[in-house]
Amino acid sequence: MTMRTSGTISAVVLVLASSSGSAFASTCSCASVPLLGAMQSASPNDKQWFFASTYEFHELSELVNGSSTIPDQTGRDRTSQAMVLELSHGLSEKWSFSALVSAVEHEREIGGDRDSATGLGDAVVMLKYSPSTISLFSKDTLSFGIGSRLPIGVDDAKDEGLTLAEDLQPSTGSYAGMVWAYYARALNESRGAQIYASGSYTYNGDNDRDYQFGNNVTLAFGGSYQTATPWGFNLELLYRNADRDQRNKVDIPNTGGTWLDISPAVQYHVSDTLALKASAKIPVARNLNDTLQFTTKYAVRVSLSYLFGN
Amino acid sequence: MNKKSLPGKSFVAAILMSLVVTACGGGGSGNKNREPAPLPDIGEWLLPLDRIADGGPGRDGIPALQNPEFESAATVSLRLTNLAVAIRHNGAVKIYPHDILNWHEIVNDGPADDPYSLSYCPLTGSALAWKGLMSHADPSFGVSGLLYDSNLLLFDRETSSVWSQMFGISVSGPRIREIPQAMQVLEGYYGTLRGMYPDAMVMTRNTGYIRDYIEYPYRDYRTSADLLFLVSNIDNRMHPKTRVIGFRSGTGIEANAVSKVYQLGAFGPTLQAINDQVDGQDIVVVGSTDLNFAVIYSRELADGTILAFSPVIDDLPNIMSDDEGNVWDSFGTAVSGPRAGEQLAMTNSYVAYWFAWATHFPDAQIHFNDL
Repeated sequence: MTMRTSGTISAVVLVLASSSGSAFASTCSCASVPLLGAMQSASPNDKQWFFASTYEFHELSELVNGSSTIPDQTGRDRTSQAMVLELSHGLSEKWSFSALVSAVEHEREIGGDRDSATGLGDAVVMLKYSPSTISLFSKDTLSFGIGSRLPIGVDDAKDEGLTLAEDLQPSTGSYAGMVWAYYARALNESRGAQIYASGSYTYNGDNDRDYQFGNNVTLAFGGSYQTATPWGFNLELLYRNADRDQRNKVDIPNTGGTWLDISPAVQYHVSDTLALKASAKIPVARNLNDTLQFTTKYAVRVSLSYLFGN
Repeated sequence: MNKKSLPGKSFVAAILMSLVVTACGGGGSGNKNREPAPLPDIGEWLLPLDRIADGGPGRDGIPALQNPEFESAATVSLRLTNLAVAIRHNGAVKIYPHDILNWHEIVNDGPADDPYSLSYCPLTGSALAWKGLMSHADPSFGVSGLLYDSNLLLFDRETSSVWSQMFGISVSGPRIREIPQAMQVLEGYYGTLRGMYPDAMVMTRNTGYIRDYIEYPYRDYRTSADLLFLVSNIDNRMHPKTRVIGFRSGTGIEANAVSKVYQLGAFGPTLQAINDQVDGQDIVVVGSTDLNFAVIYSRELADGTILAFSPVIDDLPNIMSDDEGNVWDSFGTAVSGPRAGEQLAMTNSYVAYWFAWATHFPDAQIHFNDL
């Protein structure tokens, strides 16, 4: 019985780890494209390791005027793909450390003309403090994090000698500071049903071309449910508000705004420590700055996460 | 910007294959099978590459208009103080409102056997028109998505050569160094142009595209001192967005060409004619602040005569008379007098924001220098 309960709790931790990290979605913004749920919210226990590998596809071909979608009529196709690797480690009962690296491909195609850039994206490091964690003895998880985005990737990709636009660069080329908070509450004894909320703020610096991606705030509210089978489900509402980008401290028109997305997810537990997850991000509403912006039409993500050690 | 897939194209896919196991095999990666059309490599550039910026939308991301609809100025509802561009072609005048040009930047127009392309760069405030090359099956131009010192770079659809709007020359591609045949462009308040040519046809908002033509897409850019893209030469003698009409003594990217600008806001309320000489070329600059209008023609005729002009007040479209008793209209045609029917020679001149003129043509002279 104890063994089973322990296994269940581990599975729940893994569900959480792989299901509710979307508050970080925009904290690892590789050249303006937020990586959906790029960093998980896992705060491994003391001496535990958590590894996640996530692939994400963004379709960014939606043309929006304020809050209205309008037909583009240029045949434009704008996509981004990212591969994100994350490693977290429990430093103690309450402290943990996470690091994330990304590889990104941006592509813009109109008619027969295609521009693309592929390379190492940004990295994120974060120190987390979790005074409370869902366990046999607690129904609550509370975590705080402070971190930085590191421009370790390619931010000067060129096409025939011409530097590509900022949003096509795999890396932002700039440092960022970020803070994050996360709260979850278990709704039942098995800890299989949970609700959670998280929020983050990212302050972006300038890159070498004096370009600054807009600072942004994210909020996420969601619930997850782990069935008695290996299957679990998650539903999340994501809010994001981004300032306008700036070049040389001058606001760039048609950047920034507010997005509200919904993200359903399903996960399958191969074992107590290994899980697969698939999720999507679907726009619910948005109100984007100025007159015309291309933005996310949808995004999908698959991830593999593994909890090990101790 | 035709692009073959970069060497690292398979980077993400390779990682996917190795790390995500079966998860990515089911597709959803969105990888496209389409290959880019076989466009020629660009190769040599006449412009320094580090001053060319990717504006963001990509090639054709800002859609040029192709033979748009027009309606009579008598029926068009357009604010009289909105800016517009006018072209006279085969005797008929067409007016192109900035409101639409801001969103499309290029209009390919004219009959099939005599086409032309009007380009307007909202970031540099410059409008120019070029005759189409009939030697090409497709003489039209598109928006390349590239900017040189904030100014529009066009591409021609036949060869994908890239053209600098303000320099008026092909700067890369198979047609490098070609200079297009310019057409006279008038720019001013819509009310001014309509007052000159009440029978003109006006481009309508039925462009086939859904755009908010009432809204200006660049916020306060027209009046702000801020620029959206860095430029190589900042000249602080005037506010960056001061609208000037500039004249150049040369064409293309000639470093030794002399240029001079005249501020539209300094002509005064009624038409003023300035008989000037710049770098040995005799020109007349006619403009009015209240009309938000200015144009420059050569004062030297084909027979070597150099005319001296005076403004004609309240007789639009006639704007000046000369010392021989001829009256000339805004397109530089003598409408009365001994030279009736003759045409003044165009000059290499157009309206632009001061910052744009100054960065393309450094050390420009300023006519109203005491302002």
